[in-house]
Amino acid sequence: MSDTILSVNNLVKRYGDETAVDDVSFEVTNGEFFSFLGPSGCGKTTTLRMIAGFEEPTSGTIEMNGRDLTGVGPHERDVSMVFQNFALFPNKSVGENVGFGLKMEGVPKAERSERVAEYLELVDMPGFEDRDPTNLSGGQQQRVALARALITEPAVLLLDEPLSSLDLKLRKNMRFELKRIQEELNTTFVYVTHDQDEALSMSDRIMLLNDGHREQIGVPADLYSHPASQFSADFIGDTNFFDCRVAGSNGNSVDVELQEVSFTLSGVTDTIDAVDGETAVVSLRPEHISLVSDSSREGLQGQVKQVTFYGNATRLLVTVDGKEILVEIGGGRGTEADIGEQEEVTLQMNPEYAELLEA
Amino acid sequence: MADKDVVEAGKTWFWSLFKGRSVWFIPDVRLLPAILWTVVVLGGSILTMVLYSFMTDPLAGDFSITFASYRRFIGSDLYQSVMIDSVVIAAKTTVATVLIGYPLAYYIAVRSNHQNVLLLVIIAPIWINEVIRTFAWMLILNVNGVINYVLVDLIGVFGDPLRLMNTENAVVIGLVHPLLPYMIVPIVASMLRIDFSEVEAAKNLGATKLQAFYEVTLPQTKSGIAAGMTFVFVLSSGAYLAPVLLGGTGNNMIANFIGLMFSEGQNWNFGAVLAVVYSTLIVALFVVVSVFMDVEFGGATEMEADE
Repeated sequence: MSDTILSVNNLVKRYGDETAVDDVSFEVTNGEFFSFLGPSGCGKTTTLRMIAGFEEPTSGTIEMNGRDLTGVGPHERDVSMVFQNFALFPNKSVGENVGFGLKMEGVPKAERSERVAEYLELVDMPGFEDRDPTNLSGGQQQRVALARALITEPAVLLLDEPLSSLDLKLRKNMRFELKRIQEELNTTFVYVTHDQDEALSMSDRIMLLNDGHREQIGVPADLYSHPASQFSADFIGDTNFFDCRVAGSNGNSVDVELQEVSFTLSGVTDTIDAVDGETAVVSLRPEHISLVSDSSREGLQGQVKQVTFYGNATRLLVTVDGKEILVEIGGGRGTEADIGEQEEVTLQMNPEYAELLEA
Repeated sequence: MADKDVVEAGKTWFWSLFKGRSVWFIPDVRLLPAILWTVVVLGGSILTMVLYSFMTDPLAGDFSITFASYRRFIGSDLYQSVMIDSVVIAAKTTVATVLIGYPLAYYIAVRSNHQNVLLLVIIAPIWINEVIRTFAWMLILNVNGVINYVLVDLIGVFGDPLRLMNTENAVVIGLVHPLLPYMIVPIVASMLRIDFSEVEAAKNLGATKLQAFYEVTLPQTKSGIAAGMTFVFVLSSGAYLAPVLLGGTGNNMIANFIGLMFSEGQNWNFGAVLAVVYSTLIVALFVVVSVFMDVEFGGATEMEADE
């Protein structure tokens, strides 16, 4: 069951001079939880709306199960959408909202109410048929919207920032709910979010979008560990960027010089065709920098500017030659008691976790 | 000193009147002017009208109670048929304003980027003096008016000029024009409250444009349509000038007859009867229609049950 259900090729959307979506291509596999992640205005919602048929692409194609969707109206597409503001029909009851898609398909009333009950059960809201949707809480409206979208058994469910209007606790609960429902029904979910936590925790694969173009596509762990660009490294999680000079490369290992310290980055996945003497950027996450008490060892000398305690970890902001470097020391050692502000420290890089990026 | 205290107490009492206290049956003192206006001016004039309708000849000073005027009304076919004609004209005007006004309101509320300008254009006819506006329609509808000039003299579609003036339709046209804003404004208001992602949601769930409109947009503009229909029907059913100027002699409405009774007719008691009966008829129609509309459109559940 790993066949392609949705295939988007060179999709472009322009509004006048503004390019909202710039040559985006990707494929979604059947049963996958696929996320579009990016800051607001990156074109993720526009892409979703083009898949739903609410917007016409300027160029490029969208194919579903091998069928080109160009010129196919939104009501004829085998997709359902969950809207950011839920978009429940206020003039209809919860039951009528959920049963709407079936009514449009011409399913008889008796069968319809049976299916409505079944899907309200699925979203954990049994017996809500006769309620007025405008009197429900945000979380309940969300569930109704989900049931309404799923009842037509769409090939792909599109979700446009569905959790963004809920409060934090509810949002976290709904993540598990969404994942559970997705696994239970084995429906393909295409999920739009600007929240990296949401994308990382739920998705099978993530497409990172920036300013209309595709920045990176991959499984969550890959996106975090092997960012393909400075934007990727910066948008997902926190990182430190170091400008450095390439001193030499040999297959998968690249030597770089960072100030007076030289490192060998081994097992580099993308050597970015590093040429000796050129400048490059090394991205190193805060948890891959450690403190050494012995200042005689090779490392970067700095002064602690700020100490922030997070419970499961402590983060230090260390000033090295006027540049601020974020360091995370976790769990067992280096709790907040050990290090005070203004203290002189030596930083030790772990080059095996560093990523070499284009400057 | 004592005088000063009295003045202070008086001031305190005076200002306390403006502090929204409830006195006796009035929930808030500040409502007093409005309540007085409603009870004395509106209630009083209706009461006077009803009393006059039962008097023998109030103009001559004979205030004795009689049912003679009502008996005269019941025995007269003319006034009854004029009332029916008036209701028919009002109904035609109402239907026409809905049919013209709804698409316009939809365009203004949903499609247009110049809502304020368009609303201003729509409302503009109300600012033109009623007499001038109605005379303008005479110039357009006359035998040698604009429409006939274009159709007969310029294009030559018809050999003989069309008889547009002095017809019931001329009256309806003359009423639709100034009453259109009363239909459009409440419908626009109800449309602006709709979240149009609901329409997208409907299409997404398999509804065609027409189905999405019928299932989502129309039910949510029902209250706007109802408000517009109320305005237009009430205002057109009491029309006075349009039937005189555009309807000729054969299309007088009830307001013209009531006016006649109070002026040349010198028969206030019978004029009052016409007014009371017609007002009662209009109110009764509203009660019937609102009950009927509730059954027809009101609950979506009933709509479901019909299928």
